[in-house]
Amino acid sequence: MKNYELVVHPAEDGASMRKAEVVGCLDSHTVVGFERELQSVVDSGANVVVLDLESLSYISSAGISALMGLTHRLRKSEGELYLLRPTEKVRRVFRTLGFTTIFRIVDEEAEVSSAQGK
Amino acid sequence: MTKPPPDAPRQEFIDLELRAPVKTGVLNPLRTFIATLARQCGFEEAEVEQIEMAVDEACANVVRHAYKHLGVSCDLPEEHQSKDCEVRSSCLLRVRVEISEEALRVTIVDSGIGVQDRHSGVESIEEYQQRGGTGGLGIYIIKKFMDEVEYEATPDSGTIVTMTKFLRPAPGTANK
Repeated sequence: MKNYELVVHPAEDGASMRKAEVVGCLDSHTVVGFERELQSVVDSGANVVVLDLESLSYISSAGISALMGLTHRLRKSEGELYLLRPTEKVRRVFRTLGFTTIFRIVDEEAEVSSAQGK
Repeated sequence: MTKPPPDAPRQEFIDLELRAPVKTGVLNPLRTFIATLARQCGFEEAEVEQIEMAVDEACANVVRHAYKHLGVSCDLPEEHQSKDCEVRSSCLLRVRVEISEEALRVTIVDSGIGVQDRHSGVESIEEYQQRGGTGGLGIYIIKKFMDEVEYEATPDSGTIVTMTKFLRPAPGTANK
């Protein structure tokens, strides 16, 4: 498995929602690139971001802080960050530390459309 | 981990130490190293993950903060990074792992700035949120995931972080 990769799906015309998949680890080594790439997604006009965490094998406090920062920025513009299908390992970290009540974690993409009132 | 019953073969005492350069690129192999050891001595997977994450956070703190005053830190922009090979090669991270029948103990040692303040993590996730989600989470994770954590910081001489995860007694063998 690669140490880290962010696969950003192409934007649909006029859509404010973007989807991306994180592959590998989010730690102090990879987080700088992750933040930079996600910021460019937000700068392109997205205020709803769906981040697929199905292939995220590890997250450290640096990765969590990056997700917190993005969550804050999107909520300021009445948007949201959705974390889609985190692995059991990552979910356990969120649950043990108390982040399941802070992040919007969803198991199906349909939940995003539903939450966005579409 | 479940502590073996008294009649089980004794766990051999293991004492390992490795040295790594102060680079974020060493974090992934260090995690693999510590998780492998924790798994081999029988910790449950959730405990292995906690040990792995606690050690990663302590090592990341060294990489980010310990040698920043010398221009060696992933947090510094390129123009502020030391180009002195001698300085860079003297900035080391040492990880010692001791495994006994009772516990797994990891000691992270640096010879950096040794400032006590950088070890003040948040006390809760609420406090972390109030701080705007920046800083202090790593120390919180270390304290939450390990059974014992000790810091020994000496100004200009470095920091020693010792963290221990105890083995739980096997069912029916615990002292009452």
